[in-house]
Amino acid sequence: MNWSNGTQDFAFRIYGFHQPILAFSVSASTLTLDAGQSVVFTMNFSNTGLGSANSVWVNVSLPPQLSYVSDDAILIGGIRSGAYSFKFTNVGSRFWSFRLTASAVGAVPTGTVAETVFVFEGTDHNGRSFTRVVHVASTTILNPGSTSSDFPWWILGVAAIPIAAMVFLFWRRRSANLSVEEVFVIHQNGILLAHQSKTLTPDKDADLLAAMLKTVQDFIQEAFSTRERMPMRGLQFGEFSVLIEPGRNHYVAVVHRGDDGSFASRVGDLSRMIEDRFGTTLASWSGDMREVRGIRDLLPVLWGQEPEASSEARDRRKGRARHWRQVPDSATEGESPEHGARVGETRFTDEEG
Amino acid sequence: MPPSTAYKIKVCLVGEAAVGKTSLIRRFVLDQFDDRYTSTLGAKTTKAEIAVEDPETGEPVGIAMLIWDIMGDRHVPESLLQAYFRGTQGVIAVCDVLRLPTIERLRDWVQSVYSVAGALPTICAVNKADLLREAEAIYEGNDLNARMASLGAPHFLTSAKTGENVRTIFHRLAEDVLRRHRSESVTLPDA
Repeated sequence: MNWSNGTQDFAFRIYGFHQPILAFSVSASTLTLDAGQSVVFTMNFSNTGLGSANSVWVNVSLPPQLSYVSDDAILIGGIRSGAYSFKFTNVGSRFWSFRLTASAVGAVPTGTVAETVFVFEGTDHNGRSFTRVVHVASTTILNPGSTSSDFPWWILGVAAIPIAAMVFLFWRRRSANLSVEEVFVIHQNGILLAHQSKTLTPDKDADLLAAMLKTVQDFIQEAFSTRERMPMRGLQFGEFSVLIEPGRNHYVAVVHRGDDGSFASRVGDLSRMIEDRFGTTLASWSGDMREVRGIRDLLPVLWGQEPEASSEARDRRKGRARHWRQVPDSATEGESPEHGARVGETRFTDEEG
Repeated sequence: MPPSTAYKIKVCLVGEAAVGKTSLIRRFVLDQFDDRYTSTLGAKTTKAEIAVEDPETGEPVGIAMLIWDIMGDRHVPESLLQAYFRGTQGVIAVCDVLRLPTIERLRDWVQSVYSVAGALPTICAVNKADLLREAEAIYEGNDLNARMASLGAPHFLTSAKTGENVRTIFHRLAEDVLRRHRSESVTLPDA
C-alpha cells in the first residue's frame, strides 16, 4: 500500500492464513533380506491442506547392516545432502513418492534385525516447523553360513555407542537452536504490559517498539484481510521470527531464532495464563501499571518453567524502578534457559524507560 | 528524581494534514522512528514521559504517554483509523489557525475517535499561533474563540515553532486522563 509519493512499503511475511496438512508413510519391498540383496523403501508424503509447505525434509538413517545403493528423489524435485537427507521446497497440495534402495552387507549373523529410521519434517508456508513424523522400518538379514551364536555381540554394542551419541547430539543441537531474544506482552491498544529482553539496546525503547508493532499489525490486517478480521500471527526478518499469540485483550509477541518443536505451544500456554489471571483487569484496564505487574512473573513459562511465585517476585523487585531488563549471561548467550542458560541466575537491572 | 511510571496511557493526535501535529510532537517527545512511517502506515507512535500531580495525594505521578500521530490525509482508510483509535484514552485535536476548514473539520475528527473509544478527555490545539497576527484578517472579533468553544473541549493556542503551550496541552491531557481514572469529574465533550 502506498499513500504518498516516494514512500515504500516494507517486506512482511504474514502468518495466519491457509496452512498445509502434511502426512508421511514408508513401505519396504521386503521384510527379510539375504546378504547382497536389496530392499527398496518407498516414501510417500502428501499435502492435503490449502496452503503450501515452505520446506519438507526426509532424513533416512541407514543401519550399519544396510548400505545405500540409489534413490530417485530428484525425479520429484528432492535435493539430497549428506547421508541421506532429502529436501523438497514449496510443497503444494498433492501427493509425492520417491524410493531409496539399500543392500544388505555381508558378515552379519543370520537373524540380525536392521532398523532404518525415517524422520519426516515439514514447515508451514512461512518456514516455521510444523509437522514431524518418525517411522522405523525393520528388515531381518538372513545370512546363510553364519549363526547368531558365534557372533561377537560386544562389537555391535560398541558400534551402537557412537550412533546413540550422534542421535543425542542431533537432538541437542536442534533444541539449542532456539534462542528467545525478546518477549513483549502488549495490551490490545498497543501499550506494553511486560517485557523481557536479551538483545534490546538501550537506545531502543520497548514501549515504542510495542506501540509500532501494534500499528504495523493494524496496517497489515487492514491491507490484507478480507471480510473476516484475521489476526496476524507472525513476522519474519532475516534469521529472526516474531511469533504473535493473540488473546482477547492482549497479545504476546516473541522475537526468536530457531525452534525446539514445542515453543509455539508454550507461547500459547503463556497467553492463556495471562488471559486466566488478568483477563478481567485487561478488559477495562485504565493504564495503571500496578494492576498488571504480575504478568511479568508468568514469562518463565516460555522456557518451560513454573511462573515465579508472586511474593518472591515482589521481594525481589522491592525498591526497583519501572522497567526490568534481562541481562544476557555471556556464558549462555544464544541459548534459552531450558537449554543451557540458568533462569535462576538471570540478572535483572533497573532501567528507566 | 522523576517519579517512576505508574500509568501508561494512549493518546491520539488528530487533525487535517499539515496543521502541525508532527511538529508539536517533535517539540515535546522521545521520537525514535522516521517520519516516513507516518506516511507509509498512516500513523507513527512516539512517547513522552511526564510527571503530573496526583489529584488524590498531591504527589507527583509518572505517566508514560504513548502518542499516536495519525496521518491527516483523507486517503487513509476509515477502518484503519478506527483500528488505530481503539483503546485511546485521550485526544489532542489540532487545527491550523490560518486555515478555517481545518477548524471546521475538528469535530469530525474527534467524533471519529469517540465512535471507537467513547467520549474521552480532549484538548484542542489551535496551532501556528506565532502567525496569529496574520490570522486576524480571517476572524471577526471573537470569532476564533467562539468557534473553538463550540467544540466543547478546552482549547489552547499553540506554536510548535516557539513552543507556546506545547507542554501545557500534553500535561493538561495527562491530568484529565488521570482524573478520569480516579473517577473525578472531567468535562467531556458530547460523544
